[in-house]
Amino acid sequence: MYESILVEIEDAIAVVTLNRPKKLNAWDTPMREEIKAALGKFNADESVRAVILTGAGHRAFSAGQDLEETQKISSGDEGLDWFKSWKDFYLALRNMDKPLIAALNGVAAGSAFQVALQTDVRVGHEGTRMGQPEINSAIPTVLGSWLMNDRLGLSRTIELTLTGRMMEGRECHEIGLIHYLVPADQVMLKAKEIAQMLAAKPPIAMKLNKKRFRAITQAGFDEAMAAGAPIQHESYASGEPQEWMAKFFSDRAKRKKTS
Amino acid sequence: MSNSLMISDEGPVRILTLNRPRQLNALSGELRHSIVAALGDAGDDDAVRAVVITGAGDRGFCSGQDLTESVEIDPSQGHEWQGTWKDYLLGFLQFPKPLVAAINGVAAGGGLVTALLCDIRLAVPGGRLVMIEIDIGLPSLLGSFLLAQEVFWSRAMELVLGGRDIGAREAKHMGIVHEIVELNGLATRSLAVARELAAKPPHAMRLNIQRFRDIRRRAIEENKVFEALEAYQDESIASGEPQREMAKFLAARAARKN
Repeated sequence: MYESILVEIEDAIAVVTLNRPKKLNAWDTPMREEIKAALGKFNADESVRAVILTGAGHRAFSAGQDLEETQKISSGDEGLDWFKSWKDFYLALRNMDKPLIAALNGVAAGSAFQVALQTDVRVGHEGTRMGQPEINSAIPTVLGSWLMNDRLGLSRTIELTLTGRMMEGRECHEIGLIHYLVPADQVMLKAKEIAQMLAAKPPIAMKLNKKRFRAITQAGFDEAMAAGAPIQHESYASGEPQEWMAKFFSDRAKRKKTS
Repeated sequence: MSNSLMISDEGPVRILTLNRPRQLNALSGELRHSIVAALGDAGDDDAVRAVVITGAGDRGFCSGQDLTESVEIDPSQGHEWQGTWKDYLLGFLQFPKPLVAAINGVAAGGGLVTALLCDIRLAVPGGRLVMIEIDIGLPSLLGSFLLAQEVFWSRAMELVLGGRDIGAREAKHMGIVHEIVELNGLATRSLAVARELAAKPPHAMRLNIQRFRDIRRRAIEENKVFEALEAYQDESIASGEPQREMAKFLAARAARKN
């Protein structure tokens, strides 16, 4: 039924596995549609009491946006449409009435980092590198800086945004982005343990807590979505992202040739 | 051209050095004015892609407001003086390129505010950061607001209420400082960080910077920080407390020096 994700339900816990391991589970629009549909379905299903999000393979939770898709954006208006498609995707995460746990089996970059930040509990290992490298592809960061700023304050948010630096799992744990740092082969085990603990909590109080957090963060989300639209439009209209992404692809092709 | 601010270029990086080392690079009105002017020039100059701000000497980044100047201020000129601080703040908030602070020693009061207005902060292991205002009888209005934006209210309140100085390592743990570098490597490393930022796609960089400046500016407006600055300082100065505490502070310092 799904092409790019796997889903399973066991003991009231649903697991969504991002399943494009050859692409480091990077997502394009169709894959995001699948995730959105799966989350909506689990949210409506009373037998599901917690959801785990993870990635297939050992290397990546997800590399975030599939650049082969964004590379094709050729105008400011197309850039704007692409940006707007994120709103519904993020709403699907925000609207979850059930706890969402990220089992970070590997790198979570860019929008995958943003998705991880919108889960409630994050489990990772030392190799779970996370960050917001958009600047290196000439894409400005708006939703990412909103999410980071809420969790880290402006000081770390600015540094991470401007440098595009990826943090190691240990640093993510130290600054509170990873709640549980465990050996790589125990990430899923720990995530399931937490999911079971949360699934056993009174569901109405759980739903009301989730609703409250949604309300607290709503103004920031709306403001970032509104601010992001003209910024992404201006960025793609300048031609800079297309130019830097082309450079990224040609450098990668060269690296592959020589290696 | 003022001697209290040295300006030099290294490729695409402009370096501003606060140059009053005997006063631990305290911010006189003239120095603040020079910094704002230099930021304006660097912002307009297409060849400049990032700026480093540091202090001359090996003891101080910046000790904040020059108190020898503050004690001379007549209360009737208070708002005019605050206006110059507002200009100083806006000089940073309007700056469209990355700002790197190379904190080569103590950063106190307005000196810490200056560092907090930069984007990336490197500090020497012996660097000390302190919101010193409480100990001279003044409320920290800009300082508490900026700290809360940078690292949340829990930490901001403790640092502002107690005027406790924190070392570079604690500051890094809190997230205020991003990197610790030995004094003899600070200039090189801060330049390298600035060069790295200068090499990023300039359009996206400008949009990111603009966004962060907007976030700050909007929060300052929403929280009426400038209005509070006037009202609280009026109340404070009318009480006579800052004048008394500043005189005590200066006398104690003079005694230490003797």
